[in-house]
Amino acid sequence: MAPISGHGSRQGRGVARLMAGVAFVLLSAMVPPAQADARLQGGPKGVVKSSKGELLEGMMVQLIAQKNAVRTTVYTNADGRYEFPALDAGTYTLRIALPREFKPFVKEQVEIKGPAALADITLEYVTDSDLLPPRPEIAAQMTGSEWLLSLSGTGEEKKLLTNNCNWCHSYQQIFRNHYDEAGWGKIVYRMTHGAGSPLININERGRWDGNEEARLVKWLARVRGPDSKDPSFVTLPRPQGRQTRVVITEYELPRLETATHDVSGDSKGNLWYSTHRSSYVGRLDPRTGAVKEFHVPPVGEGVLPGTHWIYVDKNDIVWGSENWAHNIWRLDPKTEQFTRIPWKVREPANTPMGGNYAVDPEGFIWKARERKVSKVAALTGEPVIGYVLKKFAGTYGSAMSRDGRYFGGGAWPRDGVVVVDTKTAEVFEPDTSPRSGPARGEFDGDNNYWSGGRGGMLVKFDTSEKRIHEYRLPTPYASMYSAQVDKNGEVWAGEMHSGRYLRFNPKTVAFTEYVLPEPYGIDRETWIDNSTDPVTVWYVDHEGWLVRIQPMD
Amino acid sequence: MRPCTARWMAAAIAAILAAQGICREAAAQEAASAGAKPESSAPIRDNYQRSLETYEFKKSAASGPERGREIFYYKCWFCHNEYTKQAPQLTGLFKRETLLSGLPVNDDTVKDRIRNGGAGMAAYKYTLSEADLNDLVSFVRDKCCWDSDAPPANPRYRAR
Repeated sequence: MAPISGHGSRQGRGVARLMAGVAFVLLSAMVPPAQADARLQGGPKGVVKSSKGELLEGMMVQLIAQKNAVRTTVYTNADGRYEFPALDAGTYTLRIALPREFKPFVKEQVEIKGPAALADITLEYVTDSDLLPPRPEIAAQMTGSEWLLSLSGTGEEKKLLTNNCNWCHSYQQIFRNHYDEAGWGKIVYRMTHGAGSPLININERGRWDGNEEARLVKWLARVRGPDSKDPSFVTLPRPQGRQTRVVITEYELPRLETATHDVSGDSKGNLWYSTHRSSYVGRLDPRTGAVKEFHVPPVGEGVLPGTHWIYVDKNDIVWGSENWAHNIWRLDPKTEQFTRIPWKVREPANTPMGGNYAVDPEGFIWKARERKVSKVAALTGEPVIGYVLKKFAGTYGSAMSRDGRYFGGGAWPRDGVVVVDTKTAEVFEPDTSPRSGPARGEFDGDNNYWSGGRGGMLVKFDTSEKRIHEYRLPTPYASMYSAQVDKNGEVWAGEMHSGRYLRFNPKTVAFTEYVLPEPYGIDRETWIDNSTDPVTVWYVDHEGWLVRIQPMD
Repeated sequence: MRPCTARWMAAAIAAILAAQGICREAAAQEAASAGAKPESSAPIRDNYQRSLETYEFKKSAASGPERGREIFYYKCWFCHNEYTKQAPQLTGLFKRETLLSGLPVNDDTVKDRIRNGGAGMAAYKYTLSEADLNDLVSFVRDKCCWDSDAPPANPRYRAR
């Protein structure tokens, strides 16, 4: 191991499931209103209504600061009223995010100074129909869930897609295209036989049964073929009740197409993010919106750069995993020096090196690979202790309980979780539902392991009961990748493809789904700031922006 | 929202809230805002919606080779990248005399190849417009190819 000099640089089933979803939304809307957080009010305010005079609930009113492009979004309540937090005086763009059934509203050069009332916003419907017209500006606002609700096809055909194509990109990236059957066949082949998201190494065997692959291709060619018409769109409900008591802030990042992946906070209030297909990691100062980029030193010839997992330890040292080059790196932000630790894995370069990692209170890194849960010396990569797995080959996610006693992770590539009690050396490998797909997660304060399931299932392993509990997401076709637990025991997880962010209260089994200002919500990892009350939740969207979620209650 | 869904929602809300005894008065139909003249603005499109730019490959630029770079990344890079062995590299394509097919390299032959595909390549004629092809080929001709060590700048980012 040797220091490497780096440099910082400045740069059908649908209706039934829809009804089920609505019912859950209603349940979440029934959570009694609480006193709004005064921190999150006191800025510009106003009313949103339709041109028919209806006061509109759940409209996303957004101000974009001209000075730093930071976007602040608040939601109208049942009376159509909205109120921003106190904002810096300056010039902003006022708009409605995702107006969907309404025509866009954009007002430039709005001067903001203090808590002034803004003029009423009146929105015009785009159609008198019960479905939204398939125009590009409408299609672009649809979530993956809404695309799938709107396209023809059997539940089985749609399941083929959601079971196999929900990891790397939005569904819009599929459905905006038209190809003939041969073309879809070539694309699906590349996608399902290529290793990881860059698809560089091809495995002829593929990830799944060839018949299933052929059935998916036929369905895609039918609904997205050369002559396929875009569907009129069925839409999910707008936010109501508690879903509207939140402030969401989005920060632009300096570069495009980097596959932003993980986020982790440091002790100074900065947010670090990784990029999975570029040489950069970044540090956002949320007070200014400014990002300092750090250039990870070059990887070997012929190897794609990119950092997957990122973690800021208690000493503000930053750790990252190079998924294609197969190293762990350590960055001291004070000196801007990177140190690389070769991570001895069997996979060839440009194939994922497997999963993610956890750091215990003593600074050891934990992983589960090759039928073993291992505690590894961070600076050498050498294993210190291992716990043999009998059923699963490894885990995708890795987590350590806050007291350092338990390891947990979602089994890979099967449906199940692995939990190890390092005090007793007991190893638990329970199965979870077919296609539940638990991936990354975290322990709660009672040492129960929670994991976000790619199949839309929130999974809990109760360490007292030694059993699994599962909670299916309310919104159809939504998927998860990770789940985190806050200081109050509430679980937070991005809902990929539904454009929503989940807050789950295990005590009441209540789901609150915050609707995001952009429709995909590709969340790879969440970091929770427990220093605020209510907590503040951060994630970096895989599409390339950093998001702060501040619930008011 | 579909009327049937809206009606179902309305009925469900009323039933559930009434059953809970917490039904509140219907929302007032008149705004009581201190605002003066109502704002009504109905542009056809809102380019601040990032998903619209994503949908149309316009995050980098509205047209030209920078837009072509974005199309290249999504439609070409995952096979024609600098690491893969299974597809031809496109760096310097327009400095070569011929394509693998033996046809001369020029805008028209490259566009035709993209439109009609090949052995392992889908035919893009159903999904890329003529404007898309013009932008894509201008990038391949003049600026190709992608550099993972220097991803394009985000024109929206302006915090300093």
